[in-house]
Amino acid sequence: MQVETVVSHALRPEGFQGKGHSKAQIVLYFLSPLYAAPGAYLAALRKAYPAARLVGCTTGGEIFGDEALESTAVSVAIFLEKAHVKVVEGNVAMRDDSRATGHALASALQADDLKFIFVLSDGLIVSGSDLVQGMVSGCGADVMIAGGLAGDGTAFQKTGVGIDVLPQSGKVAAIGFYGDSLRIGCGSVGGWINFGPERVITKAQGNVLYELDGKSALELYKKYLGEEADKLPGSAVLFPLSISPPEDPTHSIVRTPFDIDHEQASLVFSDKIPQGYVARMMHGTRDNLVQGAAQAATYASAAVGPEFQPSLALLVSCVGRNMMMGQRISSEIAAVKELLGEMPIAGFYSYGEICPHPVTRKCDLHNQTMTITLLGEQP
Amino acid sequence: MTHSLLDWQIKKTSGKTELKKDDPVSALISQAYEDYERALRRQQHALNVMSEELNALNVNLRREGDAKLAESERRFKMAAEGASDGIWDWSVPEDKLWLSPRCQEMLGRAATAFTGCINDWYARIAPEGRAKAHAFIKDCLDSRMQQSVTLPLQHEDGTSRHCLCRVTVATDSQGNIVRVIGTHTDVTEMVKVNEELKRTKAAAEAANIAKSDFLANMSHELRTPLNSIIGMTHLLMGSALPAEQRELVEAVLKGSTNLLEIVNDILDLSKIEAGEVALEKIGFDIAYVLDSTVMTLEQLAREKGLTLVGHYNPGAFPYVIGDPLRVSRVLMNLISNAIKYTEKGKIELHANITTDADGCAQLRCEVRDTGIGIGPDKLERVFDKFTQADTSTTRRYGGTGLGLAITRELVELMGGQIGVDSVLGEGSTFWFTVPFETTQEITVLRDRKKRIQQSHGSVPAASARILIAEDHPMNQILIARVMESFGISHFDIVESGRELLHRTQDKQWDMILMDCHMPEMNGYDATRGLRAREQGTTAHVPVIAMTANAMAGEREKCLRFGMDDYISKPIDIDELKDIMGQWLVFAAAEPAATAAIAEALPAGTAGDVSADMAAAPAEAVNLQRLYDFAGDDAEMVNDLINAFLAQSRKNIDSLRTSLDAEGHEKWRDAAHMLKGGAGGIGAVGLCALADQAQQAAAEEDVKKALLANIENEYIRVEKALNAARMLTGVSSNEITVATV
Repeated sequence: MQVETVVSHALRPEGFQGKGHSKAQIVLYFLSPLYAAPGAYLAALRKAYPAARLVGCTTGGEIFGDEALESTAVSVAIFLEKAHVKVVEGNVAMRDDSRATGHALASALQADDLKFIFVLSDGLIVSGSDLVQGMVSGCGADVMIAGGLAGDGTAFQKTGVGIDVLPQSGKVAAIGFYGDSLRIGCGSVGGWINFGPERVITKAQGNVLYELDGKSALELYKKYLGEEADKLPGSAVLFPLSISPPEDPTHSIVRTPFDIDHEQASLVFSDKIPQGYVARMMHGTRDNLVQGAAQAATYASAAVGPEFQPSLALLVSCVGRNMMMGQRISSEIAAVKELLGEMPIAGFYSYGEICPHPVTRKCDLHNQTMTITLLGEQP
Repeated sequence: MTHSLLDWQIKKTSGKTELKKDDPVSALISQAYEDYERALRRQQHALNVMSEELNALNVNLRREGDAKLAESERRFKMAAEGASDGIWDWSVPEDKLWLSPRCQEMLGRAATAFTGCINDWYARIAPEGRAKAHAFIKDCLDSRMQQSVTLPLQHEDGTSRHCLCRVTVATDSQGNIVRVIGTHTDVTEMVKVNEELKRTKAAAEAANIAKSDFLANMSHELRTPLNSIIGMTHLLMGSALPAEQRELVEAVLKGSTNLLEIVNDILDLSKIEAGEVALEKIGFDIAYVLDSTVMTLEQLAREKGLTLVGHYNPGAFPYVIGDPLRVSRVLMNLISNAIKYTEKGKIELHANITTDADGCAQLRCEVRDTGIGIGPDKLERVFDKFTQADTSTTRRYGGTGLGLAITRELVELMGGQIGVDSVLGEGSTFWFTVPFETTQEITVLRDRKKRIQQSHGSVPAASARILIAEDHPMNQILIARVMESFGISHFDIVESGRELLHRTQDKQWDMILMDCHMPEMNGYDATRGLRAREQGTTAHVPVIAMTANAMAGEREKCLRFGMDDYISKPIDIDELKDIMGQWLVFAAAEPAATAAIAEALPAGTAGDVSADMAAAPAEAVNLQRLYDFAGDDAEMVNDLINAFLAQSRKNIDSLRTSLDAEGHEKWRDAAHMLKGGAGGIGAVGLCALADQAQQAAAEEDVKKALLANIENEYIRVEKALNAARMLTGVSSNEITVATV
């Protein structure tokens, strides 16, 4: 497997500066919504990688090497020596279509030697968890699924995914990786800490939360945000919610509020908030989040095995982490780099990470995590 | 905008730094300061909000808890007020006592009269119960267990009430005592009734004990003079008397003999009723008991011109576990009774046994006579005390009317049933059943029929050489006498196992009679030595063990040590002859002594059985045994008595000097020897005491008490034997009657 990762700074005149690869089968690109000349960028990619499918998404920040960036475009060109890839595309017009789209995409990719699906999806219209559930039902629980939802900085306005064209909203791209030569390992850790009392989700519908313990959830968030309450909805990302089924507290999952509805006095979450679940608020410190990122790298390395040297690390981290850490955000990337060593690292800050649950191993949508996928081919 | 901190820092370092406010680095630094402070504020704020939230939660919880507590206290109060028991609650740390209204009522005071501490409670306990109350509460606090006690409470009106006080101790999570909760139940009436019952019961028991004691003492006190009267009367009858006086003396004899019988019966019955009769549980052969009873009473029947016939198959009876003496006693009583009330015809003993799969056997015996019979109106009462079929029968046949009552008590004691069918003037059938467990082993009584089948003696008794190991001088005389009566003249007596081994080294013997318990070397070890010596040769001299240990397992022990057979002491002559007959051939019409004994048996039997019944027979010595052996040989009687007394004195001296723990071995040996001698001469009481002494624990107090008893009993034995010595001039038949 051969990999070329390139970072492009739109404000600099030189634009895309990669060497190119005539046989690369797939190019992933992570494009900042602030990137000034996306059209020229895409044309440059097409020229440099003539044989490749170009699959990309908008971001809440880019990851390259040991740094977190903004207003850039990061590309990852992959040439597989033995394995091969297949790209399929879906379109979600309504949130409720998410599951069916996921099922259709995975079914289209399904084959005996299908090992891994990397998925990039619109981050606002699509329900990530429905999408993943649909995919699992389409290809079976044995195929590993990883990826992320497209981002829009901290604006939460418009996200997009593009295949061979510029990113468009409502799109989903799924790349199937086939062949026994592939070695893939995943690790996903948040590092956020539960605080305050347990609360029961007493009123919720879909991904909208109304009440906790019979009281307004929005009022609770406002109270906790204090001076930052006027920065809602963005500031709510700083207090994610850990939710778990009442009968199984170990199967907890993190959900991020990303919008509010003042009329309904409700919080809109990145994904489903089931009524009756138990919820606890979370908060993070820089140290905890950096530690979480390092932990994710350790898990991913362990998953591919200590003797195998992967060719690429794809990082999908959460935009909430980016907001939380500010100027210090690069320290989580540096921590990952330190553990992985000399290896191309590329990725983006997303509105939702997709990978197996660390406890149940079931593929699911996560929030507020650093999710790392290590890829390589056995000689 | 530049952060105020950076602003100040730039001013402070003015002239020393090139950093300006509008520098891009300044913007980044300002932003970092701002981010940092915002994060800090956010966290502090979250902490504050959370604190308030948790505090509110806590307050709520407490309010809810208080409300619940108030509700449960309200319910408790209602329950406490409605309850018939008084309830109090003592909060220990602050010593606050709460009393329910009912509790106050029981104590006879209004709530205002109480100061509200535990001393209020103590103060209401009547003075005699106060120490108990303090101890009780202390115990409750120490043990932390729920406990109860009955205490006397003093009511305001001066009356006292008994109160059952139940107390529970409540502790907190650290185990500290928080409160003590008690209930009062008025049990005054119950206590009164209980005390009344106790008094009544104690009075009844005391009366019963007094009655039993009185009966036992009376019987005991009566028997001694009665024996003298009977003895003297016999002497008188032996002298030359005018016919008129002889008649009077005969009347005296008859009357006193009857009286003795009554006294013996009363003593027996009082013992049974007092529960002092313990049944033996040993393996025995029912057929043997039946045989020997019939044999014993045949003579008595013959004398009255009646026939006594046993109708049963001796081979059909399994060995059983039970009390052979008591079974024998029941049979004796029923058959004697039948003989007594039958003028002509016959008495039949029918017996059979049914066995079920679990090894339980049911013995059924019927004694059928052709006597006077019993009227239907009397049938039900014949087994009652002091009842005979007809008061006129008492005059005609004598007797106490206790015999059947004793018989019934015995049968029921053994778990059986007894009954009678009768037609007046035609005869009666008395029957009884007794359940037994079957067994493969019999302990004491010989299994005659089997041995007779096995008998294959080959050495003529007259020429047999017998070596006897026996250390007791009196028993030596006895066994010598028995040997002579068997027509055996070549016998030798040694006194220890060691001596026996020495004497068997260079001389051939046809049989060895081995006492098991001897000084220097006991019989078991001597036999083992003997057998070891015989190993590898064809020689095998029969060894017959003679042991006073009539216990289960003794026979097995003897056989294990290489002995060939076993006889328990005191030795039954017939049984010994049977055993020796396995190896020896006795001359057909020989033994005079056994004949004489057989003659003597019927008259002696009643006394014998009665003696077995009683734990401590009134007579110090059952002289029957002495005469069984010695017959009318006055010299022999005197020799035996002398030998016994001399040896026993030595043994008692040994006992006296071995009271301490170190001398316990010596104590046991002396006791054993005393037991052997006493058993041999028929001093049943002394024998039993010596047996106790042999088995006694090595404790000086116990031994001292036993020794005192032995010394007292010995004096009685000595007196009795000296009296017997004086009578040796008289014929044996008359003397045996005198000992009934």
